Amino acid sequence: MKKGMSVLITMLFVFTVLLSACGGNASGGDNGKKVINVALWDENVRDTLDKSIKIFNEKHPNVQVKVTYTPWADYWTKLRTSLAGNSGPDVYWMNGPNFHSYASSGLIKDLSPLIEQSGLDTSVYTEALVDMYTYQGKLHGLPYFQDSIGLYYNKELFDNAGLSYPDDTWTWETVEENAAKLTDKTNGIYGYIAPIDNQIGYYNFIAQAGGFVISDDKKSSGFNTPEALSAFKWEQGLIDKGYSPNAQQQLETKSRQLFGSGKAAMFPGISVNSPELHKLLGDKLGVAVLPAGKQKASIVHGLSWAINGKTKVEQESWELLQILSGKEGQELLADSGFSMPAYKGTEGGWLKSIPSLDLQVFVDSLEFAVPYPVSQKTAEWQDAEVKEIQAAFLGKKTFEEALKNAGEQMDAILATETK
Amino acid sequence: MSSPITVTTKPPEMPKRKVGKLARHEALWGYIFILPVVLGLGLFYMAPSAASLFLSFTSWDGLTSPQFVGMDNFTNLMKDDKFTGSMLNTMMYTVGTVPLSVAIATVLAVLLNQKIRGMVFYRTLYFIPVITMPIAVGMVWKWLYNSEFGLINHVLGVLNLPQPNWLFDEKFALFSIVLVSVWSSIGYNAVILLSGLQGISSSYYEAASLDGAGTMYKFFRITLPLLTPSLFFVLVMSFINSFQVFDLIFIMMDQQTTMLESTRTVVYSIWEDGFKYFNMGYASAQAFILFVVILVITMVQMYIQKRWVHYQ
Repeated sequence: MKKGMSVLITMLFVFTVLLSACGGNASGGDNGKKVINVALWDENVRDTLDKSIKIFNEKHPNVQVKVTYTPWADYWTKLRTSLAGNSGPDVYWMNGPNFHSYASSGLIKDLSPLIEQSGLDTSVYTEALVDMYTYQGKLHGLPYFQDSIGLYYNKELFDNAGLSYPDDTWTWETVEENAAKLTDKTNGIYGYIAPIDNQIGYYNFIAQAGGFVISDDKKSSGFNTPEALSAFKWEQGLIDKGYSPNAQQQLETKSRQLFGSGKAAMFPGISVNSPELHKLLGDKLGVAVLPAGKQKASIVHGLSWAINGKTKVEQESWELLQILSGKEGQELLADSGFSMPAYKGTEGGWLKSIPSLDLQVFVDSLEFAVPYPVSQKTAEWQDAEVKEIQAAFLGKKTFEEALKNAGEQMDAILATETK
Repeated sequence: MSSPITVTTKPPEMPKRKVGKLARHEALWGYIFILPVVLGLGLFYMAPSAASLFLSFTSWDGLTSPQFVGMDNFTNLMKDDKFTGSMLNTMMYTVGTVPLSVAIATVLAVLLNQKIRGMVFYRTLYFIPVITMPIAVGMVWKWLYNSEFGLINHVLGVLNLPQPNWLFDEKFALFSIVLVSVWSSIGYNAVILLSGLQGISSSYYEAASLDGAGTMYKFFRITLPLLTPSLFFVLVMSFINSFQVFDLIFIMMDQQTTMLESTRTVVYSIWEDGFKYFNMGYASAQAFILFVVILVITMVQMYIQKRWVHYQ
């Protein structure tokens, strides 16, 4: 009998251990309150989010908002598996490259009926972002914050060369002329960094040359076009003349580090780089809009809040979204200096976050914003694209050949997208 | 119905029925003791492996339900340059790592088997890379390899030797990673071989000395043959580990770069397809092929061990 008991206890013990290991986090509110589960990755936004939730709770005292921060490395895997298992968050952060894959699987709620119902005016958000989060003509995410590309420069190096700072009249030609004068080979100073990266580099230049990366219908690639080729030829010219570090140097040492250590006079960078570059260069740091090719263009990317397509608290989640991405929430976000808010006219606080830097440049760049190119299989064609284009920058093949390959591979991947 | 254990532990005059009951009782306890391991293996190894095998015949994005596609994943893999390239890289990596690591570890084990002061310290020293996190190893070596600011090229520069771009030149990249993995695996292999060395009876050496055998003769005629069981184990494990390498490449290479063409391994490719593109079926098919390759290589090793492994 005694042995029988211990067998039973052993079995119970084993199963308890197993069950506690497998157990998920049960979502139930305290005191029968309704619960909204929110998921995102960046803890730097915690203060702003807490303040916004406080505003929400003043209006909705009976709803509890539970926020989970998952580090970027695990965020997408966790989000995908939890949504597939019907236990995902009600409200979550969405980015451009992943948007179409989620929207086409019905994991994101179409916001258009809710927008209509509450009479929300979506024209207050940057158009490029509204485009980015529109799937089949309907908005699926409410934009939260954004970044654009500008031309950072080192004032000290310009002063030493006796040149005037870049401004909005600059073009590709002006860049080359000035880069020639700023390049100082004996001291290892480059006039310009022609990035081999896409977001800060060739995505902008292709658009400035009048080309595109992905067609509006997301069915064809724009890499194999004369416009795209001219953008790369311009970049390669600057590298060949020694005005810019070459591809191998850029592969090994990130161009941002090179510029931050005062080894380059001009560097196209993202608005979110401002705090880091300011820390490194202090008041020597300046910024201007990107010089124009045939036309002006600046790649804009931003995040939005999405609602789980299967949420049980749709109305409450929608109310929360309107506060987070509404005027009040966006002003809070700007004041924290975290990033440029997506709501037009709320950026005042963000502009003041680095007094010595003219951050208004990034807001002005939104006038000629081009959305960061995305589709359902963004990661897949981007890898193919980067592989070909880096090989060309490294001199292993011509840009003509690389762009042809990149275009063909991207077209083939786009053809397998379902929708 | 009696098992050998019960026959030896119980007096012969005990009735057979009672003995049988005890045997059953003991068997029950045996099952209970292995239950946690069996459950753990079943839940975390067997079930996922079976699921993965099933998924390899489907197309699954992790969101919608899997679609059965038959052999499509496998036929596509044979045409996929990325996969065949990664298989080739993995083989080159293995051919580079395993012999080098095992050879150095053997010599090191012999050296560490001597009786000198502070031997524990040296043994610890060589084992440290094994217990160091691969992330830390990768990050530190990435800096050592830096072509402009790295220690390795600095030393080469002082000696007036060529300074290659270790990680960002496709002629060197895989070789550079092989060096790091050899460095970090020597310690583990050496410890296994060291325990093998200590199991060799000193009487063989005494007898050989009396017959006038030299150091090299003793090494090749006594040490090496008697070390073959340990060498066999080390070889099998090294092959398996090499075929599954992922972390060093993940840390030392950018995630979007043409350099991956010459450094991408099969497991890296599985990760890319599975957790970057979310083509779970396609990734599972690669995992299954890798499993078969490792299985075949291990079976071949088991088969040819008869010719060179000497058990005492």
